[in-house]
Amino acid sequence: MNNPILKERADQVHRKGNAPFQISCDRDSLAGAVSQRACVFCGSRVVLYPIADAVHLVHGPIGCAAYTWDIRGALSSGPELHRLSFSTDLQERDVIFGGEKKLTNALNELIDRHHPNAAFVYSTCIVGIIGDDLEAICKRMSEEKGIPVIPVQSEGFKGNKRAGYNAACRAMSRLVGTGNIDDVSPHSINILGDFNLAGEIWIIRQYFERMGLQVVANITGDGRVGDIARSHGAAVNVVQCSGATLDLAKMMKEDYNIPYVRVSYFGVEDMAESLYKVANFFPDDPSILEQAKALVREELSVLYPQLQAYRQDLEGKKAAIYVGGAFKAFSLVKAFRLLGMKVVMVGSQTGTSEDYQELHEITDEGTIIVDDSNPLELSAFLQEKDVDIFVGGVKERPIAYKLGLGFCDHNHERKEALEGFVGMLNFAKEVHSTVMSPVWRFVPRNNK
Amino acid sequence: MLEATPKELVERKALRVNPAKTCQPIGAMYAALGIHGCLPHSHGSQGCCSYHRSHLTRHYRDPIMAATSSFTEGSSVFGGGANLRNAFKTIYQLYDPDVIAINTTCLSETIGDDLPTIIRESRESGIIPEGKVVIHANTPSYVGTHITGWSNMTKAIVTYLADKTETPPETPYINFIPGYVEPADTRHLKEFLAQLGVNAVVFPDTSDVVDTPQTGSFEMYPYGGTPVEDLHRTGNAQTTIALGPDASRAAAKELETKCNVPYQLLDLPIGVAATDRLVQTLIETTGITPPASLKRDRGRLVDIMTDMQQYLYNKRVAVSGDPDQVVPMTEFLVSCGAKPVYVITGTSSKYFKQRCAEILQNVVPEAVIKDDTDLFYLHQLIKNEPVDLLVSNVYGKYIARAEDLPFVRFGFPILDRVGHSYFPTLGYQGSIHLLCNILNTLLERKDRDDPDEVFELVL
Amino acid sequence: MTENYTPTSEQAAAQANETVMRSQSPVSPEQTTSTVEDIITAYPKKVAKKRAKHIVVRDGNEPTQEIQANARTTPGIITQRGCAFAGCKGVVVAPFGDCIHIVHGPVGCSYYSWLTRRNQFKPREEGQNFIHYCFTTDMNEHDIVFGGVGKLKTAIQEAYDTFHPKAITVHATCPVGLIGDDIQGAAKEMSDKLGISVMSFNCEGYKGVSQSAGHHIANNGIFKNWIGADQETEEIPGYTVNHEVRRTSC
Repeated sequence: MNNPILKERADQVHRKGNAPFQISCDRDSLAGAVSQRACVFCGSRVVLYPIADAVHLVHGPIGCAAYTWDIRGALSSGPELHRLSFSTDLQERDVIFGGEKKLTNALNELIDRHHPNAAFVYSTCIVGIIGDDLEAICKRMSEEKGIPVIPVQSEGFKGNKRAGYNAACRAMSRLVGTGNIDDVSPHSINILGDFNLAGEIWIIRQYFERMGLQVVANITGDGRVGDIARSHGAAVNVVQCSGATLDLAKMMKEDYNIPYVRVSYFGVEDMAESLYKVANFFPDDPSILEQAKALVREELSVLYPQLQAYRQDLEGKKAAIYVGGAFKAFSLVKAFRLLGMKVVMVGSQTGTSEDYQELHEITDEGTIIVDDSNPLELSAFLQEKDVDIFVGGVKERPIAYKLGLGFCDHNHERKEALEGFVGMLNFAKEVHSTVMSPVWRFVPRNNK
Repeated sequence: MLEATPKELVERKALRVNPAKTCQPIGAMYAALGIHGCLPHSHGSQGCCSYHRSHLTRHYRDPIMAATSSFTEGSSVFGGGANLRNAFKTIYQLYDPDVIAINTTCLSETIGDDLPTIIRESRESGIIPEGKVVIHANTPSYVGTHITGWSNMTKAIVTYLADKTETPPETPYINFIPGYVEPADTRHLKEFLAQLGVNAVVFPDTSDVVDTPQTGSFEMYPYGGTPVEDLHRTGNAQTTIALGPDASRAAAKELETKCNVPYQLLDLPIGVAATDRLVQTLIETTGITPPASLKRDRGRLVDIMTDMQQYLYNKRVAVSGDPDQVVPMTEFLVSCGAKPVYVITGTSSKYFKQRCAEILQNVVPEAVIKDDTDLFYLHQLIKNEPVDLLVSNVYGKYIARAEDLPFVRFGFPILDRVGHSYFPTLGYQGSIHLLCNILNTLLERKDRDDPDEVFELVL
Repeated sequence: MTENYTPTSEQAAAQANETVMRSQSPVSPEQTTSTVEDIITAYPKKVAKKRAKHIVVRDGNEPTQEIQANARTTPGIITQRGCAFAGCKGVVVAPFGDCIHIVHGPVGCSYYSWLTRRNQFKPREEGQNFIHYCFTTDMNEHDIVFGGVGKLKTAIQEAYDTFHPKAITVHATCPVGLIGDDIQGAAKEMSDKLGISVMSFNCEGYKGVSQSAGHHIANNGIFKNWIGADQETEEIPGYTVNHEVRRTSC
């Protein structure tokens, strides 16, 4: 336990201030290092999951479907088919003799029973090895049933979560361009990279609509097959989050010449900045920018006085961040600053070198910047920096609690909407509730 | 449900509505059941005994045995001496207990029956056989509450039975008074003391008396209860540790007065802080070193508190119950991040008012702390400003239903659920049960109330 | 069912009677008698003599057998009986859910008779519902020493002011009779003052031999004070009955 950082990982950790910035990232995890990262399948599954009127069939042994069954709070305003988890439940026999027949039967039965608007068929590790021809089966089923049946090439071993995002985007790109775009306004956008956790996309969508924009497709939060099919009619793709749907935006840029803009809805500055960025795409109608400005003013006048109360208690407390995508980390750093708090550690599972360069620029001296970290490292950093709150996802939560410090879930298991202006208030409330909780009085850290 | 309860609060001078307490004798009867081989005896009308037995039976779902002097109009005029002598004869011939523990009632107290004299004369005339123990406590129903009754009977145990001998015991031990608690609590506290390596006489001990196993036979005097020999030994103990000041103070003090045994009064160990204080006191008085297993128990409790803190943060809670229970419960809720905004008890109690004020003054300055009040008042408070959770004995369920509140049953009595006499709520382990019950109640409500799209697998 | 024979009601009754008279317990009469004897001899002699009359082993050859009843319980016996208060307030009067029942006494008696008998009650349209409430004067030592009538009257007034019931009943507990609180007078006075029925019951627990005394006290009170009080009710056409179910346990 003396040195929690494995020799092979030394170049994936950087302490700001003691050397010129250099960090190694976007490479395979060190085997055996208990990475917090997941696999290709997981990446695809989480991106496509919120499409609520599609059947999501996992072709493989039962586990992959079981662990992804209704585990993300991606809310739907209509159908809830996405909350069911379907599996071909492959057995030893199927592995030996092939699972194609079973897959065909499963699709037949599912489509007849649920009448979905599309079906996604996820490939898992074993399918890649036994060589079932998903492409051919999907094509045939698609013709027979008259709905898109789309294979997702998400064999777990084919890379990391980022490769899974790519596979999901490739799957969705097959839908794009198949719908009718007659009624799409020239002042229109698609919202990409938001999964409607705790109903967040409803907040964001409402902002854009208040600005006078038409939102064609939510990709993928509260998503619908039909909307994605006609998403090529939108004027701009508004992309949140580093990786998940960026590839789709790039494909649509290439195929349909739709520009994209990267945004973040988290934190006051980034939220406002995002609305202005999008408005600037429509110089032909200055009222859009005007509406955006009015909206920001209105929201801030409500928000700021309420934030002050929280800031009073939180001033000077220390925060650590470890999230999936680095883009979210940028916003978090700024949001903590707004609350008067210091970020002393920041890292991500899937950041790129550009991402880390930006983190390096916006953080304070002495901040630890880390790529693809693991529990041992994380707990060592948290203890060294004596932080008050750790921000992460489900696998980070118990680490924080075991060390006796506050935690805020900024991943898919969060219960509170954290996006938008109202989200900033919720975030402040969450941070306050955990940092100021009396339970920490009883942990060893505070009883030395 | 409870539609007649108005929102407007008006001061009442005479009318008690939906009481949060009951009368002394039931507490005395419960304490007496904590002596091995004891038949409690109610000196009054037979209705009192019938009511107390029924209520204890409903709460424990075990047969509760007690005899009565069966007063009639005649005894009300001429006194109950004859009835009691008559009762002794019947009881010894028929039920042959080792100990008879007599509690009085409002009737015999108003008549003014002189119990010590009746007992002495009965002994002299041989109505009470050689070697049989008879003790009594004065428990007028119109003074105090069931807590007072428990306290008086526990004190009577000391008054009658504690002996101080010339030669000190070979192995030192302490007295441990668990307070007015469930049999599961006493059983757990005994294990807790064993875990720490503390030698103790625990009394009164109702475990294995009111929570007996199904054996196919009816036992008048079940396996449990503190043996009389142990009660004699209490006078030679190093010290007395008494939990729950309102219930246990009198007995502890009596041990000091009578046998010079010093005592320490502690809050019931509900929650981590109160249990810490108990452990600390045991370390200081007996010199034990707490074992690693105890630290792990504590760690597990703190782990749940930290894991689940977001679900209790700033939750407005109303707590009703007996002072000894409500005080540490309030402290526990505060240490989990909740806000006990209404804290009430039916018993008149300085301890309650003082401790609750200490606990709440900085964290919930707006809290309403009231003793000697009733559930009707609590309901009115809730009607004026609602709460997120109600913690109370079974009678709170009508308020919970009327106001659609998540409800945790806690304290005495619980007549509509099972388990309260089997799962402790004291010590680190007991606090885990209690906290899980509170958390699961809140989560259950969340699942019930969430719309379909928000209803989630993972909470 | 091969016969088409339907007996007349008289025949059926006679047959049923015959069946009952001839029925035999699966345990022999000798065995039962010896069990009863064992039980009886366990008592002290005097008690045994009394107790013996309370248990009868049925003998088909004896046309009339008598059983001793309605006698006092011997002190010390773990009787399952209750008291007059339990019979009056707890059993007979409490199920009237649309009026307020105030227990005049220390808190316990009201507490144990609060919701424990599982009487169900549904208010009529526009009717009031107090079935889930418990009202008591919660007498303390001061009230016992100096008398509790004043407190009782205040309690009735407070109940009226807060709940506006159509009727209030008052129930005495053991010490009330001993200290001589005139609850009948108090009830009359408050009834006149408030213009509603305020009825009191002297059902002190020590009266009679069991809760049965309370049933009588309650029924007498209801008969005297309530039944026939409404002079304006017109005759109800058709065959009508009032229904009272006797309750015996406490």
